[in-house]
Amino acid sequence: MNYPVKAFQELVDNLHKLPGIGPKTAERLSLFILGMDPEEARKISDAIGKLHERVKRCPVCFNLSDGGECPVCLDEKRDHSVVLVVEEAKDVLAIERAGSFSGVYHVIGGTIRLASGIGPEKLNIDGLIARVRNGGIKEIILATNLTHEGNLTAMYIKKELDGIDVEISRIASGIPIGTELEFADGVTLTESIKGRVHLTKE
Amino acid sequence: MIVKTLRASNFRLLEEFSFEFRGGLNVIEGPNATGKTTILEAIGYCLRGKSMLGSQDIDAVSFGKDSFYLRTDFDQTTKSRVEVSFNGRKSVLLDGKPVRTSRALLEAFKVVTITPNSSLVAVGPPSHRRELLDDTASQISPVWSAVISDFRVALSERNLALKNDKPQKLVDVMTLDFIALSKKLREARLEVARMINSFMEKANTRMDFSPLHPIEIDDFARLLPAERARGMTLIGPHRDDCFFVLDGKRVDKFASTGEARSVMLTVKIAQADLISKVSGIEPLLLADDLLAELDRERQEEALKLLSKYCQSFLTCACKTPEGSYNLIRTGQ
Ligand SMILES: [Zn+2]
Repeated sequence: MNYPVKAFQELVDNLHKLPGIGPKTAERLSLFILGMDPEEARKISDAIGKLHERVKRCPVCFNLSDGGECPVCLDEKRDHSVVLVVEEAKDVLAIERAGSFSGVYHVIGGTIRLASGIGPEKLNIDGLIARVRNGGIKEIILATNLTHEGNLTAMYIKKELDGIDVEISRIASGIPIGTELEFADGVTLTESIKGRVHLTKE
Repeated sequence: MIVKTLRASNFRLLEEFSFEFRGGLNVIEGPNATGKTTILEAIGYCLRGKSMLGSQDIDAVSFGKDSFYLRTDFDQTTKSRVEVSFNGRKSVLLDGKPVRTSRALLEAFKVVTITPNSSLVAVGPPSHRRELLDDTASQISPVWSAVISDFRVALSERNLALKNDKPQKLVDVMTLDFIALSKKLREARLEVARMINSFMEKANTRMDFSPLHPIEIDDFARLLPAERARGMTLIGPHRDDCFFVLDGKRVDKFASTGEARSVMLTVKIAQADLISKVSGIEPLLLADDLLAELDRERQEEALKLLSKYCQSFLTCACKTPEGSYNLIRTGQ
């Protein structure tokens, strides 16, 4: 769709880039924002504009943080000897919402997919290995998605951990095969972590 | 499953069109370049969410336009509508809900296509026959369909790792993954070949698929230098040979053009019957220009064959022989 007003066109085009927003919805949202109090509209634009500079990554686990270590890493009541390895920060959110995991996390930032230019060196795997080598960790639970790519990435991390004295386990497939963690319900997630399978060392 | 209506905007040759179809055979008749094949392609696009000819979405947009829209309505109660739209980004909706993977469409809709190139399944290189087995497997079992798509990813990722000199640790992990998926894929293909053969006994036709010895980790250890040098996976199901045998003769080596065509038809009908029997859903037959080069008698046979199905589509550039079918004319 083409609009005669350039500023309006730009907003519609940009909103249309978001998932789940088609051209019609983008137009409706743009009209709504145009009708808002300018100060309120500015708050939305500030929240979006400053998001990237304000949201930081936890230097320990790469979870989202306000700067410095994330709330999970800072929480002394949690079991810092059990580390759950996930693909994305959204997986941390899903598992925290389920509320039954008391260990800490490591966010690797995706899965290996060479076709998209993502080799293991692009993921936070070296950081995980360094963390384990530093000691104090008894168990690594590989909780990448139970998809083909998630499984391959878990196999790769296990290989990188070869020769280091740590227990390694993989979440159980209580979640239907091929599903991503963020779409699983809380009970299923909890069961999947509880029923994890311990992997034998080579 | 019957496609009742097809509506489309800016899809290839046809800028605005809407058609109604019936159960049984629908014949789409008209001169060349009037959009006969486009109608079949549009139906295929809705059933698979992508081009069945393997072309890019952008190429399906009419010349001079920037988006296309397709919608098919079905008669069945479980799934009643598919919409595909593309405006730089594609969206596929099944009954109004976004479809995230092709799996939902594969489970809901079954389809068998016949194109002017289909004889290659009989006499072309083995890749055409592997494709037949994989397509059939994908349509009859969601587990197999996952194995096939995972295998394709595993193969291309491993090839990329070899080509780009990725560390051995990564190649080793990919090799184990590739071996596991190869085993599953071969089991699926063997089973599908066995099943499809049971539908071709009467025609004295069978597929011979006997993969070489299973691939093992040691094979890859031995091949590694060659694989690294060539940047590709040198053994596996992507290289398996298979061929048809008609009356004891290898079809790809000895068949005449006529025999090749008749084996192709036998195979496609067996595929349709197999899918129908195992999945419980009768497939739609999309036959593009099937009657060309057939004599009158065999044209009539082909029409009878297509009429047996719940719904089939046939394009025809010539005058179609008499019969009971729904006739749609293009280019008027
Ligand atoms: Zn942290």
